[in-house]
Amino acid sequence: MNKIKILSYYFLEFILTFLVFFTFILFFFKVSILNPNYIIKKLNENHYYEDLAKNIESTMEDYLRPSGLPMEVVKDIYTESDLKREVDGMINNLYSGKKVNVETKNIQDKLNSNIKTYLEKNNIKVSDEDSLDKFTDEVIKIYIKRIIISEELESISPSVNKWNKRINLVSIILAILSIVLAFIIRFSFKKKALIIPFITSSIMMMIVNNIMFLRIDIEHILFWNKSITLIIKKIFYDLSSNLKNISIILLVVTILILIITSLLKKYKKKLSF
Amino acid sequence: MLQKKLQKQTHKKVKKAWKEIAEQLVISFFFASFIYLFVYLFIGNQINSYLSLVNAITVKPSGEYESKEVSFNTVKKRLNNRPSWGTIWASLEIPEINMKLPVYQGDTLDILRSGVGHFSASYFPGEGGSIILDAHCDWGFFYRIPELKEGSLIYLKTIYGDYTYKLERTKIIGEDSMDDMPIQNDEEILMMYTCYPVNAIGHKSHRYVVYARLVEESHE
Repeated sequence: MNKIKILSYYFLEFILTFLVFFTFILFFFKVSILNPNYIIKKLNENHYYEDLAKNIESTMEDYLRPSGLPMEVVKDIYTESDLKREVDGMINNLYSGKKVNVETKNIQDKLNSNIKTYLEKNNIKVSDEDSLDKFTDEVIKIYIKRIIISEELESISPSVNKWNKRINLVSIILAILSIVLAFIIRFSFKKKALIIPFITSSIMMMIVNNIMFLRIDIEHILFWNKSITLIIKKIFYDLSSNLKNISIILLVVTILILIITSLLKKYKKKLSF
Repeated sequence: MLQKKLQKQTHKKVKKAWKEIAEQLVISFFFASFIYLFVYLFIGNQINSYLSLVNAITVKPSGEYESKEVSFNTVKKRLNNRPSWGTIWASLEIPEINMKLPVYQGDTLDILRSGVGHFSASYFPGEGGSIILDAHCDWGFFYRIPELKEGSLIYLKTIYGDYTYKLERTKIIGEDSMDDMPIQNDEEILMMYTCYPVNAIGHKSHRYVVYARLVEESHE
């Protein structure tokens, strides 16, 4: 090949490397943190719903203390499966850009019923009915706040969905461009097109993984509460481990293919000779 | 002879194949280095600031939060070191209503389960400013606070000295009326508050506040 052809080949390989690397990265995040089912799976694995139930119970207990009402009024107003349904629904809505809300009618009805039963059983007359209504509202607020964590989630939901769609589109475009460019390189230059991009991508993924691990003090991170922090840490370690494994496998497999195809070509020539 | 020639040619071809493999690997490493440098030079600062933002939500290990000895500087009229969060630094005693409770640094719900909380943005006894203490209104805590009258004595026995306050007035305020408990450092006022009415059922939308002035102090 003349010099211009060689330079063109390496330039196109460099572009293809970029395309392949970002295709891998986007796909990697698409099947992990940008996938609601992945997040839900992590919540299940780390007993998030049990911790959430305990958290809600503890907060309600603190609120109930000065209210003059016992814990029995909030007993059985929700179950762990109610919490799971709400949290999973909230995550799915967050990723699909829908309104993030929590169903509370049943809980409110059960709470009101429990309060009425308690007051009647103990022959307690409440002069200020507003205080009981406000009490119920506050208990429901505790329930909602612990599930939704932050009101800002509702405001970021449309953005999450928008970015998710953009990433989908971009990853498809990148993948198509990569395939097209790979074919162009293969047939124009009669050289292997994907070996260099795959090896470079695996090296880049290892670098990204190391930067994440070295630069982020994940062990001491504290975000919102202990349960959420634990989930974030687990997701981080999981992503890091998967990224490392994928990069190693990609590197090893690509090098093996390179060795086999290069040697095979030479031996084939030898046999034909 | 022919066999030797064939062997030599095979050896050359294999050597060429390994050379091609090495070339591909070297180019790959070169590309990776170039991409890394390119990203570092053009958006390295942005990436660093995002990473710093993430690290800003870390909590350092206990080494930095080990409790230091609390002592009072009588010249500056300030504590040399504040008590660690969640630790007991005083005993609140009101003999008139038979009350003796531990005072904790901080006033989170966790702390209020065990005793009296100190609003950490307020001052400490002896510092000449507003001291804000709060506790639940149930029996064994601040339930009997509304029984106190003008002139009632309140004792704060801290780990660095003892302070006596005389109740001046009380007030019932809305649950969000923090303006009625101002943080100031012109005079030492002890403010204690709790939910009100103390024996009502349901949500308590008022607070009962007691204002007491420093009348006596002794340091260790």
